[in-house]
Amino acid sequence: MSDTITTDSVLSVENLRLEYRVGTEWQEAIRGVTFDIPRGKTFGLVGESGCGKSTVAMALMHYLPRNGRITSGTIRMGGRDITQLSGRELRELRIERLSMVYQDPMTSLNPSIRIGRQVAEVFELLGEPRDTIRDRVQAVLEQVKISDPESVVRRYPHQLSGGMLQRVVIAMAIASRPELLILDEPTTGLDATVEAEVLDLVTNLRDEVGTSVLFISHSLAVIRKMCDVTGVLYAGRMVAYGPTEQIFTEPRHPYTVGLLRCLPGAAGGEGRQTLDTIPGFLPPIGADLPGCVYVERCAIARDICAENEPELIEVGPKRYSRCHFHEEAPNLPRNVPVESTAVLAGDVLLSIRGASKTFQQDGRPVHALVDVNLDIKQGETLALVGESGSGKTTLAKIILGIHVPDEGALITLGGQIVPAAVEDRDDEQFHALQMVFQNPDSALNRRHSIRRIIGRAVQILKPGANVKVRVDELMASVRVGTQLLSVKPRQLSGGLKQRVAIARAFAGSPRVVVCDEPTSALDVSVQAAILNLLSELQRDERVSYLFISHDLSVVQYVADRVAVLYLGRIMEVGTSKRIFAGPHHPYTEALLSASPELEDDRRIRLVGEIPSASDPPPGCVFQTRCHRKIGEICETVEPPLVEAEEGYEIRCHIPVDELRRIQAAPLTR
Amino acid sequence: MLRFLTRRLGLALISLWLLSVLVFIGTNLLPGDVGRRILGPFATQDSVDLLNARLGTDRPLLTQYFDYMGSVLTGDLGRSVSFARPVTEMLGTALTNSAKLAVLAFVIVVPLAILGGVIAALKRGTIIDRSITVFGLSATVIPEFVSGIVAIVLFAITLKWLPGGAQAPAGSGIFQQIRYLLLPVIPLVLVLFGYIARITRAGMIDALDADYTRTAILKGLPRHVVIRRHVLRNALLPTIAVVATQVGYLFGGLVVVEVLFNYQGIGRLIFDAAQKADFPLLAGGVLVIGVIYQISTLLADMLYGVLNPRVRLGAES
Amino acid sequence: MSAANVSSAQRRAQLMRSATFWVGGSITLTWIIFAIFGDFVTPYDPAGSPMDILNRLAPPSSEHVMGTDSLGRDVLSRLLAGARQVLIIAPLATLIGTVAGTALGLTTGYFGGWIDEITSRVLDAFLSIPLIITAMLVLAALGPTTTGVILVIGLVFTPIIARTVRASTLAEARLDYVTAAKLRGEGAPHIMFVEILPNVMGPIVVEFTVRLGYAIFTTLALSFLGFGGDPSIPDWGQSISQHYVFLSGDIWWPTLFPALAIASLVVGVNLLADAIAQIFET
Repeated sequence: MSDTITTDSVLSVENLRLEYRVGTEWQEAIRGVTFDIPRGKTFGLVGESGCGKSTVAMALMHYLPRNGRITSGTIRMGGRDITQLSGRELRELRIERLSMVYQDPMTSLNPSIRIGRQVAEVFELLGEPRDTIRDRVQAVLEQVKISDPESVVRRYPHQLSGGMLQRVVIAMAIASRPELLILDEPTTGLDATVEAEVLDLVTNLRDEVGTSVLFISHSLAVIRKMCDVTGVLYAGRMVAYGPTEQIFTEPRHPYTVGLLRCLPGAAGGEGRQTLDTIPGFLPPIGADLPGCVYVERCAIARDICAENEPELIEVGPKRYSRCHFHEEAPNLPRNVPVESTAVLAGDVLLSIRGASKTFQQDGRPVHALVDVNLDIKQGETLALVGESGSGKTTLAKIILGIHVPDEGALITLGGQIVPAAVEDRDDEQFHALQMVFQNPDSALNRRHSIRRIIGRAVQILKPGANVKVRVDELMASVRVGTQLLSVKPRQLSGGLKQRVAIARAFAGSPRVVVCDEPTSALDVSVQAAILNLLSELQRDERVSYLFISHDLSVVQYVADRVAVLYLGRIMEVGTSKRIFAGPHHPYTEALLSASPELEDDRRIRLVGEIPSASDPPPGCVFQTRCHRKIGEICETVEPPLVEAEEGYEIRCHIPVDELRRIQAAPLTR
Repeated sequence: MLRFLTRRLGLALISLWLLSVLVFIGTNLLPGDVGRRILGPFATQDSVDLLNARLGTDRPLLTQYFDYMGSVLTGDLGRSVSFARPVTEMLGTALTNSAKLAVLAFVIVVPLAILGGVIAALKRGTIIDRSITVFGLSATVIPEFVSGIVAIVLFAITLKWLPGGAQAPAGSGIFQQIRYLLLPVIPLVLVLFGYIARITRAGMIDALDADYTRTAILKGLPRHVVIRRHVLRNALLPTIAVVATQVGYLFGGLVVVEVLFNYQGIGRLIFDAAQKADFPLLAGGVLVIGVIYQISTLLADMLYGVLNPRVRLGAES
Repeated sequence: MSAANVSSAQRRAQLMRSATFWVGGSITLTWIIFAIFGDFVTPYDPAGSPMDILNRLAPPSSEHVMGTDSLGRDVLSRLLAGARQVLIIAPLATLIGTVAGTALGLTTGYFGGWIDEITSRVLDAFLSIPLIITAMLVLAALGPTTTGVILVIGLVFTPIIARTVRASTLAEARLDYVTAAKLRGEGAPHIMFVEILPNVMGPIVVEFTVRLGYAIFTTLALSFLGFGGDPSIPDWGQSISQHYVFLSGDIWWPTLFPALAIASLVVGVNLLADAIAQIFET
């Protein structure tokens, strides 16, 4: 492998091994990782949760948790081995040459120190003279496109949004013009529009500052957009490594092939087909893996794979795959047969009229939802899309009766009026309206066994049924072995937990199931399996879904119809095909353009932050950020939601035909 | 911040009002026949009636309550039955004496306990941490009269370093007074130490493990700067609130210590009042302690608010 | 093997490795044994006999290892017998406080709103008076009896435990399994006691063990102050209050030995509590 370590790299990792102490045992988490980061380039590290991405990042900073230790290997930077540095040398390295940006900007800044002071610290460490520090702080904040640095320096972290804080963290990281900038999931948890801005910023800064970048992400799309070279990490092993485009277009490792196949493509709605998945589970930390780390989940594995660990085989120029049979990888057999899961929608089943919700916050009204009307047909999936704070979850909770809407709202189910509060609903309504939650850890009672969790739901939601028979039936339909019935949730993986939660929601025979970001806490391979499961259940039970998601590729795959929300109002609603094809509402246009899959020249940058729902802008609520604003009318008159085409409604002063015309034209910057 | 303050003040007032109701229940309703409780089972009914008439405890309860509250608000806490003196006046002298003990105890224990907690957290998992934690844990639960007696036997009787009583001879200077107060302060300090140290340690560990501390370290700041500038500030915030609630525990301890050392403070007074079923004195003493507790937690919350920008500036809306 | 078995087995293993557990446990166990079998092991009758008075305040000797008290009774015998009183009062009081506090904390935490506001205010008012003073006030009003001591300690523990349980309940009530239960139409009692309670048992167990230490503390302080109930029952706090005046005459044994007994019991119980708290925290 030494041939890959050239003088042209800013950092070289060779055969890095790292262990964690769990109880009294040391368990290996990084099993000999080798890679180097070319100078001036962006190196992407991708893999599912638990594969060791963040551990590698922390090892490079030589910042290990109290129970972690590096057992062997070297991390070379500028001729020195980081693992051998003294405390003082390490500090100098971190001050001058190596910086990091973290996943959660909200917790990464000190809550009780002003932003300006925290940024100034970096310049103090660099030995900047006292009288110029102020200017340097302002300058670096401007560099990360903070429009009002004078006011931002005086603020505390809790007064800024997540996107803004991440800019501040990035500013601190680039202040020293480091040789290497490590970004560990820098946009996870941020809205898509904010993510797009942060990614743009990183790209620009890399060129401006001339730093090399190590970019860590679980998102294949983000890695593909950002990185020149990509390494795929699996079970603490680098399984594939090479130029990003080649990794994505001609994958030569079965794991990479499998991952890419799990991504929900554009073939949704009527043409919806099952997604491929990866069988099995990631081996746990410390597992004894004498052969290939991927052998247990690999469809092309043979005896040799279980016995001999493959070398990193050079499969192209500067391209490696750790697979004995890398030539066969592109032809990996599917794990799930191709099947249509499309459903024909029936009549309107659930309808919401005039739903508003006003919360009181510090004595001021916050209009979380304003006059929403929606219909859901039997067997269809209606997706709710919008940034955080747009009212998606509020709407779902109103339908479920968890939030009681303001006076005047009407919910009907199959023509029957449904009481607003969940306590006032009757058994039939409980049976009909169920929910699958975002986080299965929170959704399942951790003190109850799976049998008890599902059993109780059957008892209540399917009165008269033989509980044992029905529980077994449900376990079979969500494909969880009945031997797991006696287990508690924490012994299950995230995907299995979500299956159990789905089984619980289907314990009766629900007619509408609210799915609130059901896959956003899951890895792509698990996401694919859960999406398949939900689709099959819909096909077989003709259930309707109200599907909340921030991931537009997931929405495009699952949804028959889409409603776009902004500041508690529906901006646009129509068939999935129509919404994605356009012409779009300007807000939807911006949302769609934030997708990392898109080329840069089609990017629309939203200006400013999402306004507060307690003080929405006058006129059209989107006018403060709208790039298509036509004039005063947008600032004074709120446009009504009008049916512009059959089955398509839009809330905009610009006529649809005009939108079609201007959106066809290339974007002028 | 103003909003936070007015709300906090309002809550304190409500708590105080509720406290007055509770104290009234405790001293007028629970005893049943107040005169009988004071004079005991062998007194004649006539003398019991007479006492009830004198105390006003023969009137309807609500009248009694409003009457009592009326005079409390003007600073009149009634007359002590057993000492035949105005309660307000008695409490005044006693409070001055107790304040000496309390202040000395706090001056000693707060820095010590915070230091202990900080060291324990910085040496997490080591024998030093365990020693401080276990010592604090044990010190907190040993009743004051037990540690007080051990201290007397050790420092006054065996080693003869400190005087056995608490009350310095009249006309003593401040250092002489402190010398006398040291022995009774020891049990108070021991009880307070463990709790404050434990909260400090927990706050420190939270701050040490926080993401912003990681950011500070990875900026390249030296460890002592990270701890001074980034860790301590956030870590000590919860300690402030705890120190204030300890004022409450302290008064509990004062009862025992003042009885043990025969020191004329508010604890001793409450003890005498309880023993002699002197309800006006008891009610007055308890109310005063409640007021002191509420004021100290109020001050602590305000200080917390001033030091914590989240409270001071509120969230950006 | 089910999750419960795995986790409790792991907890047990961790407990077995903990030095604090063994030290605290053996001290506590020793006193429990004395409390139960004290009558059989005391060298003399703890209640003493009329003739004892001739041998009052005798220093420790081979006959009376810990000397005799002001009535000539054997200090060691009274010491061993004295464990019983506190080991009956403290656990019972703690149990009452824990059960009542759990019920109150679950209710206020789950329902929230004005019920919670009102209860919080009353509890705050309650907590502004130190435990021992509230106890004295109530016992002064009702007259000191053993039952009174148990009830009053239980009463003052209730808000303290309720506060802990309320905080945990608030956190649990925000979780989605509670929403899921509501969506099935489960009633409040089911959600509170079947869904939430098992998840807040950890803090409750920890709170119980910690409170037990404070209950011992309070019981003994009350008996030292003369509010401990029946004066004829041998009791450490009472022994000390009756004899500490003799300290100035260098007669330390009737005071110091009960004091050390108290110290060992509270420290033992507290180490045990800490060991249990540690395994629930990790």
